[in-house]
Amino acid sequence: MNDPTTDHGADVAILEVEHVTMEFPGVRALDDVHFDVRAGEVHALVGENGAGKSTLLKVLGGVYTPTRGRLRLAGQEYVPVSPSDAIEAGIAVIYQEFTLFPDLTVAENVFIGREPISRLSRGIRYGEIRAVCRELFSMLGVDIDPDARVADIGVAAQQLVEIARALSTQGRVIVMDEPTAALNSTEVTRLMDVIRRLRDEGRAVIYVSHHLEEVFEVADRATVLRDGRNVATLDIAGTTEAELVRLMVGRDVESVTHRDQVEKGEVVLRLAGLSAGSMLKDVDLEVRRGEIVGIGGVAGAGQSDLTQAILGALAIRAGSMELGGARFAPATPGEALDAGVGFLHEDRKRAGILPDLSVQQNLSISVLKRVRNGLLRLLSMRSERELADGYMTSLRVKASGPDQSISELSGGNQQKVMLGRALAPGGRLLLLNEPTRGVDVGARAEIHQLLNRLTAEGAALLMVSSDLPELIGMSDRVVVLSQGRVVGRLSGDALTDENVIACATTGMRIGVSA
Amino acid sequence: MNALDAGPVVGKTTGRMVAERLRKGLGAVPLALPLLVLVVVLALASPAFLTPTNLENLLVQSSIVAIPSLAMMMCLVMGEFDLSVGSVVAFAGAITCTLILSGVPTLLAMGAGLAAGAGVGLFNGLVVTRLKVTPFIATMATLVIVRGLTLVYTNGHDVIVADPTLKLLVGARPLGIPMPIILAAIAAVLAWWVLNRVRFGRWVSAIGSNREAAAVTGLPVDRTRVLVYILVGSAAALWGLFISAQLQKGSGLLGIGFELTAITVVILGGTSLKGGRGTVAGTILGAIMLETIRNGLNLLNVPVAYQRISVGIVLVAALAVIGLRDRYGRGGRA
Repeated sequence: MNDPTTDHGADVAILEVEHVTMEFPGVRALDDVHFDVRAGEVHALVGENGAGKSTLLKVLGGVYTPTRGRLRLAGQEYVPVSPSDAIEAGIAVIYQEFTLFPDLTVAENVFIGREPISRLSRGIRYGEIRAVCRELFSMLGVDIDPDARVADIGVAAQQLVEIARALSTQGRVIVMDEPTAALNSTEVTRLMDVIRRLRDEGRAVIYVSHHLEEVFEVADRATVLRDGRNVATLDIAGTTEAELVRLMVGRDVESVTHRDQVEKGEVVLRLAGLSAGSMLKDVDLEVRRGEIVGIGGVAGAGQSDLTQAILGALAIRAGSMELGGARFAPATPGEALDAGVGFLHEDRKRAGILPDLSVQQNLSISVLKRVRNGLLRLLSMRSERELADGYMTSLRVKASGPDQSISELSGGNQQKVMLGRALAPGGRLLLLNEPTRGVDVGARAEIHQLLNRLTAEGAALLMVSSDLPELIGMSDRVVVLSQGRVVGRLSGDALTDENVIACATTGMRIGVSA
Repeated sequence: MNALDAGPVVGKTTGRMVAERLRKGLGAVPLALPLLVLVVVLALASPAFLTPTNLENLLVQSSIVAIPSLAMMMCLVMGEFDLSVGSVVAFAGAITCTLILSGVPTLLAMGAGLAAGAGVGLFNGLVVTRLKVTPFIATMATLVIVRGLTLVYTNGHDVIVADPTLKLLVGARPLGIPMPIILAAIAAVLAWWVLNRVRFGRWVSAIGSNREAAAVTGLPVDRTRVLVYILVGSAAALWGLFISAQLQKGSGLLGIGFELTAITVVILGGTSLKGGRGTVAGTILGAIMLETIRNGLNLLNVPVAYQRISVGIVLVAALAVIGLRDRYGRGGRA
């Protein structure tokens, strides 16, 4: 194991993590983690889901008190016992889960808990907080109204409000947990600029991301966590993506997305002039047996409306659908399910996992009628177990057993269970939204192999992805949406990053008559 | 986590799985210990407590409370609750007694009482699913409406009957066991079955665990919700029949606050207000716990007002224990 604490003398460590161990009942989430972060550097923290990154951030942010070990901030012992201690000490953490108050305004959210109070009226100085917000947003290069209710702005804007809140604390150490998950490529570029500016001002930025290309773009050093231990701290300039992945996973992984050649068969799904919901307009689309059709576009261009419409969860205004050559008009997701359509929601936490149920119960929930038997049509624990075992083996779900609570699994394993649930109805047509969102590199590669295998077995896949390498790498064809309309149909040599981005952001048309 | 990544263990019954099962199966045990302590204290404090007559009486009362509490537990597992129970108790009893007085055969009158409760449940379910009124407001409105309806229906008078058939509901002793205890045992077995072995029960847990996920998974969410409200309404009506059988009367003033009794029992039993999980054994123990407190305080001649205070304190204490257990017993993770 490399020695992670290599002090270069001239560099000043602002934050030192010294042999921190964090234990929960039955689980050691952090095991003797030690590294340092310097003022004026961007320090990436990488590792698979469940490696302990989020736990470490919560230790830094005063949410958890470590079982053993200590933290030093600018040479002083730093013992936060609450999140407000961390903020006061100058550590601002932007958590992956949004911590905003939906019914308050943007400005109120940015200053929550630190509102400047008027001496005269004892009221909040709204003028001041609005002005500071405008300043922060102009630095971030975004146009967000400080008076808008947070519930009314989009997910990307909410993420930027979180970032603005952290910046407004003037912290010496800014911690960002997957800040780009909800952002489009332009916003990501701006965020990278902001991070560099923070670094140049002498602040330290701890940057957590699954996107290694971002790490290589913006970070100076990276600390790799695996199974709760830090395996290495490396200079980014002196390492490679493959090396980082190897350290994260502990073995060599084919991190490059590879789409197998699969013979295409008859048309499984055909949409003709489909208009649905408030957004989707006149969409023509075909998906064949053995084919992966990718759906691209900027966030909120109608991708999820499209899958919702096919699922029967969104009212269809015009046009028609065919499934396997027959007219298809499901009134409810239950009907789509019965017709053999599998569905994966893009938001695993909000509309995917059933947190109180076991892995087995999460897998079987959509096909319980298959595991009933006997005169009374009771659930057969044995056939349910067989169903669960089958998917847990074929998807390589890591769990202590089918009875383990799904909440205890890592994100990647939860996602595999969600894929299993989508496969259970029969898998003639699969509607997969963001199949690898919030999933680590190892699980991502496994899921991509699974998609290859499914198409080889004859499934037709419609895959919505905001992850460009995945969209380009895994799709046989890509349909780009913009404001609910098809603006691009890309395949073969025309299927490139540039073309997808051009169609999605400028409305340029490729492969579509105007 | 390292503990979880230790290796895939699939399909085999391991020691850990057995431990997990035991932990789940014995979810009600935390309540068993305080109950035992309570019984010992009461036995020492009052010589009348540990007598066969008193214990039977206690179990009968617990059984009467347990049945509607099991239905309420289903509702809480689904992440919702029904505040209209107390009014349905009065409504069903009043209808049954009035019909008996007007010459309708007793069994038919009881059926009508139960049907009225189911009807109120259907109404609640439709208001909640079709009109999208939150359960708290919808069932609170029903609570008021049905209470008013019952008072109008009875003209504010007691409907006094002397019906031996109705009395059998609490007085019959098949195999020497009081009827309410037999019915509660059947209800417990049915509730356990539905929750663990019937698809409907799994749907209820799924909806309580994550309603949006249940909807996109294609489950008939609204139909399931309506059925659960019908179940609670019917069980509340049965509670009303028990009360009217005991008192031999119907009245617009019976059952006041019973919805809170049922919810208290369910929460004492360890079911989370957030939904997703609940145990039958816990609910039964919760009912016995509540009735033991009442019974004991009665024996000790504590006035009713003080009894209410102590029930409230026990409820807060139980919730505090559950809260502490959730915070420290199950660690968060990365």
